[in-house]
Amino acid sequence: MKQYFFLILILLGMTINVAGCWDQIELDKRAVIMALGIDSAEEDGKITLTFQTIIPARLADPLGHSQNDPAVRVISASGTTILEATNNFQKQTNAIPYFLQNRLLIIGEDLAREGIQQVMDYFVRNMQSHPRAWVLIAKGKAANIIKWKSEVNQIPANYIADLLYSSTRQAITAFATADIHRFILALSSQSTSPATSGIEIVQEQDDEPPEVRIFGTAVFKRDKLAGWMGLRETRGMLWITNQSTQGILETGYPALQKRNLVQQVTRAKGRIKPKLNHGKIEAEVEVKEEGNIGEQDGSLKLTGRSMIRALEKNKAAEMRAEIESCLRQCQQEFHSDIFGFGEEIQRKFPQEWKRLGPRWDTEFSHLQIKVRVRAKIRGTGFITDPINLK
Amino acid sequence: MFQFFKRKLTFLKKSRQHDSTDQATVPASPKISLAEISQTLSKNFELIHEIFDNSADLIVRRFTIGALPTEAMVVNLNGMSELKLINDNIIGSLMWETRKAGLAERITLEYLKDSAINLNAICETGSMDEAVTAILNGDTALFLDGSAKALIMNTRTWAHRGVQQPETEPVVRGSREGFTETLSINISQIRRKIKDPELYFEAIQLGRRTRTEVCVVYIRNIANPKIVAEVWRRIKRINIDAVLESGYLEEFIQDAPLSIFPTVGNTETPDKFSAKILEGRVGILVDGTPFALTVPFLFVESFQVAEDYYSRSFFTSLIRLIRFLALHLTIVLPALYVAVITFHPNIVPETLLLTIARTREGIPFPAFVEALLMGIFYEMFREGSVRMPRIVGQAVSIVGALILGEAAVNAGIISPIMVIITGLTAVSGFLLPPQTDSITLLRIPLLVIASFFGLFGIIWSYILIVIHLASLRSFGAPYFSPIMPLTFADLKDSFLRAPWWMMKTRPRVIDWQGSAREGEDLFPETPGPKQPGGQES
Repeated sequence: MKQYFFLILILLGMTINVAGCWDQIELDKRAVIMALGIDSAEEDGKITLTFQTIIPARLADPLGHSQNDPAVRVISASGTTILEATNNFQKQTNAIPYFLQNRLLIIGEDLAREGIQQVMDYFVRNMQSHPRAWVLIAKGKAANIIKWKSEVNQIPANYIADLLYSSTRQAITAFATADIHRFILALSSQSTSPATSGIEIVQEQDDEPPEVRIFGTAVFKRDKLAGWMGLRETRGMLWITNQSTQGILETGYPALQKRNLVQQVTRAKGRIKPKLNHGKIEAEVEVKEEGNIGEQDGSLKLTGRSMIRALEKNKAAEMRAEIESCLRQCQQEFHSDIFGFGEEIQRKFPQEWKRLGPRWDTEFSHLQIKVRVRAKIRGTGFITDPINLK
Repeated sequence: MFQFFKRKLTFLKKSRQHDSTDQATVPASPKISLAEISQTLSKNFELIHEIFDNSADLIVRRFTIGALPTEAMVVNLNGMSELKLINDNIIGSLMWETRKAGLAERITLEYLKDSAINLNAICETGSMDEAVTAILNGDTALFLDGSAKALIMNTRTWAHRGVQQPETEPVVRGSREGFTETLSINISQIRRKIKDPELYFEAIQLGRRTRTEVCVVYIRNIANPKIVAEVWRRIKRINIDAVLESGYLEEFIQDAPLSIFPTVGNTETPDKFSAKILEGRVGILVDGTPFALTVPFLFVESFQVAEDYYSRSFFTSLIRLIRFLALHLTIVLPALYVAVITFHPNIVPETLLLTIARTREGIPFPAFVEALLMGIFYEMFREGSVRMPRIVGQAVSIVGALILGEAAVNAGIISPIMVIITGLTAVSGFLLPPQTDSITLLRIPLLVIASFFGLFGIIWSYILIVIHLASLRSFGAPYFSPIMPLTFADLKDSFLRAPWWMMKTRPRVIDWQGSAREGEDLFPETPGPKQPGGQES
C-alpha cells in the first residue's frame, strides 16, 4: 500500500498539469468584451468585427463620482476569419481580449443573408463566448448597434441585454430571443431553423438621441437569413413553441367591435402534436391558455356565463389568428421550420420521418397544421363590474 | 526523494518505540531516592539540609515533646503551608497535649498520629523520597527521634487566583466560572457539578523537577475502560523534567503529532469539561493551568460551544450552520478570490466582475500578492494585539484599522474588495476558536496553490484535506465522525443541534459503556384544558 501512495501522489500531481488551469491573467490585463458585432466587410470575403470593451476606470463610482460618459470603447477589426479579425483587434489594444463575459452577439443583415455557419462554428469550437450571450440580427450594419451609446446605462451592451431579458420575464412585448446555445442547437438540427430578434436603431426626430428597438424576428433558413417577421407573428411563434406564457390581447367585445377590451394572458402552454391521418403526416398545435380581463373601455357588464364564454371565444380567435398568420408566413414565404415540427414528427413517427426528413424543406410548406386554442378567463381583475356602472 | 522521506518516517517510528522501552528505568531523581529515613533525628536533619541545600524557603523546627523529652522536627516550606495550622494543630498539640498527658513511656509516631495531632489528612511514610515530595507540595513532615518513619500532614495552602470568568470562553448564558491554576479548586468545581461517586480522579505526578500534579478524570460506568487505560499508557510514558501547562502533555499524548489538526481538546470552563466527561470522554487536569484536556477530541467539537446546549435548539442550529459556513469562508475565501479573478472571471456575475475590475484599476500588485500581503499583515496585527498589554493593544488595532482599512485603499495600494475579503476571512476565523491554528496554517498554502492552479488546485486541496481529516483518529474515535464514518445518531449534535429531549444517547463514536442519558418519551407535554394543571378556558 505504501509504495502505491507515492504513485497515487504523482498521478494526482499530473492531473494538475494535464487538466489544470493555466491561463492566469490579472483582471486589469484583460479587455472584457461586452458585445461583439459581426458584419461582412467592404472587401470581398472579409468580415469586420466590432468589439465593445469595458474601460473599468470610467465606470460609475458607487460613492457618487458618477460619470455620464459611456464606459466602453468600440474598436473594429477586419479579417477573412473571426480569428484573424481578433488577432487584428489585439494589435489595437493593450489588453488580452476576454470573451467569456460577452452578453451580445450582433450579426449584420448582409452577413446573415450570406450565411453564418462559419461565424457560429468559431463560437462553438473555441468555447470563447459565453453561451448565454444573446444573438441578435441587426437591420443594416451590426457595427452601428455596437457603436450606439445608451442614455441610461454606461455600458450599452448591458442596456440591450437587459431589454431582452426583461421582455422574456415581463412578456407584454414578447421577443423571440435566442442565446448562442439555443441558436446553435437550432442550427445543428436536421429540420429546425433558428430564429432570433431583429434589432434596429430608430431616430424619430433629428433633435432626439437615437434609440435601439427590437422590431421583430429574423427567420433563418438553415444558416441564411430568410426574412423578417413582425411582432404579431413573433408572438404567434412564441405561443406555439411555448416560450411565451404571458401577454396581453386586444380582443374587443363580442358585440360592440368599436370598444376596446384587453385581456391578459397569465398562463399559456403550447404543444405541437404530430398526427398520422390515412398515411399522411399532419400536425396539430394546441395552446392552453388562461388569463384575466386587463382593461375595459366602456360600461358593459362583463359578469355572466354567456358573456365570459363569448370573451373566451374572442380571445381564442385572436390567438389563433396570430398563430395562423405566423404559420402562414413561415410556410409560404420563408419555407422555414423554426418551430420544431420536424423534430416532433421525427420523435413520434421515426419511420415516416425517414421518408420526409431529406425533403423536409419542401414538405414543411405543405404540412397540414390545425390550430386549437383553449382559452379560459379566470377572473376580471379586482373589480367585476366597470367602475361607472350604476 | 520519496525513499528519503520514507526513511525519515520509519526513523521517527523507531525512535518512538525506543523511547517507550527506555523510560521505565530512569529514576525520578537519583539523589534522594536512595535515602531512607533514619532512626536518629540528627541524621534526618542533616539529610534534609543536604537535600534542600539550605534553600531559603525551608523551615525546620526542632523541639522536644512529652514528659520524657523526645526530640522531634517539623519540616515545611515557607509560603506553601498554612502556618496557623502548623502552629496550632501540630506544634501546639504536640508541645502542650503530650506534656499534659504526662506520658511516662516513650512516645511513638503511631501514638502521635492516632491521638495527638488534630489534623484530618495525615499519613506515615518510611521513604525520604516521599517525605520530600510531600514537603515540596506544601505538606508538613514530622520526624521523631527513634522512629524510621515520618508523618506527612496536609497543610497545603498557597497564594492562588480565585474563581473568575474565563477569558477564552466567554458566554452570554451559562456558568461564568472558570478553572483556576490550582488543581484542588478545579477538582472541587467538577465535583460540585457531578455529584456521582463513580466520578473518578486519578492522580500522578509528572515532571522530574516540577513534580506537577496531573489528574485523570472520568466517570467509571460511562467512560470506556480501554480509553482510560490508553490515556494512562500514554501519560505514563512521558518522561520530562517539567510540565508547566497542559500543552506539554497534549503534545505527548496526541494521536497525530505530525498533523496540523488538534486531536486533543482543551477547555477552561468546568461546565464544558463536565459535559465532555458526561459524554464518556476522559479529562486530564494539570496543576498550574486553567486549561484542562479532554480526549477523544473530534473535529465536530470545534463547532460546539457550551452555550449551544443552554440556548434553545433552533437558534443554536442556525449558529451551527453559520459556523460551518465560516469554516469554509475563512479557509478558502482569499484563495477563491485570487483563483476566480485571475483564472475564471467568467464565473463571476458580470456586474460584480465590473465592480471588481473598477476597484482593481491601478493597483500595483497582482491579486495574489495583494491577498498574501493582506493575509500576513492581518496575522501580524492579530498577534500584536494579543501580545501587547491591553492599553497598547488598542493602539495596535487603531493603527491596523487605519493602515489596512483606510490609508492603503486611499493610496491605491490595496483594492477595497481585498480589504473586505481579508476582514471577512478574519471575522469568520473567530467563530471557531479550537481550529484557529489549523485554519491559519491552511489559509496561506491554499492561497499559493490557488494562484498557481486556480479552482482546480483549490478543489484538490480540499479533497486532500478531507482525506487527511478522515484518516485521523483520536484515542480510537474517528476524528471526522459523525460525517465519516457516517453516524446518523451523532448527526443530532453536529450541523444542527437537536433539542435535549431528542438526544437520548451519548455520542456513539466515543465508545461508552452506558448509552442512554435520558429516559423515553420526554417530549414536553402540555396539559389539556380539562386536565389538572391546565387552565379552564
